[in-house]
Amino acid sequence: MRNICVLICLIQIIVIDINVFAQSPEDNIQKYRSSLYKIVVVEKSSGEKSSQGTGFQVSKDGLIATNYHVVSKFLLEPEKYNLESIDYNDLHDNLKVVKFDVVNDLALVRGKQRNDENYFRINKNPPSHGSKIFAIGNPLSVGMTIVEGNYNGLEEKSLNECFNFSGSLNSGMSGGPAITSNGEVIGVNVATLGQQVSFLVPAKFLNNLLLKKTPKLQDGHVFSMIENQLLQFQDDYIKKLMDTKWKLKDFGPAKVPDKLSSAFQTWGGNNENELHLLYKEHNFKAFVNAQTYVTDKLITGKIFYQYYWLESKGLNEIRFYNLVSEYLGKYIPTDSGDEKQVTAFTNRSDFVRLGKMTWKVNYCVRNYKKYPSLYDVVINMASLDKSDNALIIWLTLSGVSKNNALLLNRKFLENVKWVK
Amino acid sequence: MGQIILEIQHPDRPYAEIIRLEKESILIGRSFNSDVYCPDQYVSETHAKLQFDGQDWLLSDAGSANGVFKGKKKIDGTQPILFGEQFSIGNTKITLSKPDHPVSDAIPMKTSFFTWDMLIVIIAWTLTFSFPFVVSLEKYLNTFTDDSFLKLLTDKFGFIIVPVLWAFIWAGISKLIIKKANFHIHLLLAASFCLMAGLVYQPLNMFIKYNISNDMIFEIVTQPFILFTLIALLYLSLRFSTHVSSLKLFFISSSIIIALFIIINLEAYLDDDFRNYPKLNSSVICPELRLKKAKSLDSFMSDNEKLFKKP
Repeated sequence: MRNICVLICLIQIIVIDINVFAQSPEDNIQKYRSSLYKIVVVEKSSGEKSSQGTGFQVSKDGLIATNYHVVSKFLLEPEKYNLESIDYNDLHDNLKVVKFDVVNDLALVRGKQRNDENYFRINKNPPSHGSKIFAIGNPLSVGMTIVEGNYNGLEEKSLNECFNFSGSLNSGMSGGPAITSNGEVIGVNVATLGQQVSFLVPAKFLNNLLLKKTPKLQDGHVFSMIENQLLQFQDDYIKKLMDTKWKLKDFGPAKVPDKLSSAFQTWGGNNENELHLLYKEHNFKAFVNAQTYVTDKLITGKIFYQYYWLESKGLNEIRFYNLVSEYLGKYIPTDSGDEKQVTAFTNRSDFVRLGKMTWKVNYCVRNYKKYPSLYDVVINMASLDKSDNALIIWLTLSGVSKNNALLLNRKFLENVKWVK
Repeated sequence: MGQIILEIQHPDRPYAEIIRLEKESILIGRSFNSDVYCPDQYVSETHAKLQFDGQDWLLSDAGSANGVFKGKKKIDGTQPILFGEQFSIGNTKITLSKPDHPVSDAIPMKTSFFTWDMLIVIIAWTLTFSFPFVVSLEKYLNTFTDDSFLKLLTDKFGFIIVPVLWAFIWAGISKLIIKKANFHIHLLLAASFCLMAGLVYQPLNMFIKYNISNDMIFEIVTQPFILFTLIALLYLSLRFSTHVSSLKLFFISSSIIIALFIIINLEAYLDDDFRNYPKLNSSVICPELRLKKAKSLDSFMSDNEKLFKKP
């Protein structure tokens, strides 16, 4: 009898536990609705909304987490914009940015001082692969919404860590929490590719930001703080690239760098279907998917390189070299940045001997006006000595320091080897 | 009466003046009343006299300031002078000839098949019809499909209108100003200029750009060539359309072309929109035409350091 009672108690505890830990997402929204906010950037002169996202309270004293890109306009131009939160009762509050992490796209903001236990708890450990995740946010200003999906592990094709989420985040949900069925935050909504492919910033970075001791944010120091964060970030990933031995691939008459790391996506192709052309073209490109948002006009952190191998099918020497000229000059502008953010490119062109081959190399550099230690660098080069086949190479690095650019460029060029 | 032919070689005329006279006394001088008028400034009003005595002609000084000379010898008094002999007064030489002095037969005239005018016409149209070939050749060298040269030529044949239009305009101006059209001269100029642009300037441009990487040095080398060519074209077009002196035409042409150059370049400089991609030196030609030696990677990377300038 006694054993049966113990068994029944145990079963009840388990059932109660299940009920406690398996609350529905709607329950979580109801529980935490007072800790969820619309985050709005308002243009001072017109009083109109300029951009919008979501935020959620992460501390008892009222600290709200959101994305950096949600608040960037206010952070970078506080004289033009105000930052506000709107709660579930439609009450507005002016916000200040307390800390930010531009690389991981996070920001902590604060309004009126609070004393509220009802805030989101963070779990800095990733959930198990395939587990249900609920992203909360304010999509397209229609009101707080839950998007259900699965956690699909770390996104590999990125220089910085982010989670793959199989729900469809919408515009306006940026900065909102992604929670487990237990109500714990495991990530922050950040981006979507549509078609049920979205990304979350891992909660560990939010936790790090919360714990990080930073001096009080002053208007004049924002740019130098952003610059330091970007410099640190590119130092880290470029050091990793420099420390590894690169795998080379056969490409036409040469061996060239293959994927520099697992973060790179690669694509290849050729022009075999175009029968009217008097040359063969084989191409290969490698790039990293994720980049770092600094402003809506400046997105940095890109590494991209592309190869073309051209073989003549009956072109005479003059025509073939004209073809090489055309490919060499065919730069597709994918660099962001307008006149306010970046300088124009300065470039020089030279003949360079790399192993058995002479190359014409254009080396182009531009500077970030507000972050003067950072540069975008483009190398564009063509092999010269063969009149019936040639290799054209482009390499773009964005948001790198001078030393890192020179080091990585040198290593890249050292790994281009003409073998035939 | 004495009949005589005088061949008068005036100092400022290429051919001798032939005068046939039938008189007993012939007065030679600078007076308008002379029988033989010599406008030579060294000839006196009444300078020399020829007198027929029934058999021979006699020469005498008629009171000249500078004398009458047979050869280098100044005559004194009256001297006989024979047919075929010459005397001089001032810088004028006068030869006596018999009235029935034989003249050789005329040389038959050869009609030349090619005149200069015909040559200009032929060259002008040859160059004009060559222009579409040059344009097509330029296109052919920059096309990498299996399109034939003939197809490209058919597409580009309309370019012939360029020099023809230029020639028509200037021929119209010439007709108005100097009453002579000079159409083929203008056509020759325009066609020459167009061909030079395609056959000389374009390859030269690529060659210089291939070897000179610095944009400013490239402009310093090529712009004077373009300026000079345009000034020459305008100068010659004006030259064959007006009567204005060469110096003035040179000044006018230079001023117009330089002014246009400044306006165009200034406009380009002011309208220079920001580009968020680099302007690349993509000129590649055969390696035999490379003038610079290739650098090592170390040297190249070291040179690149100076591009990293903070704003």
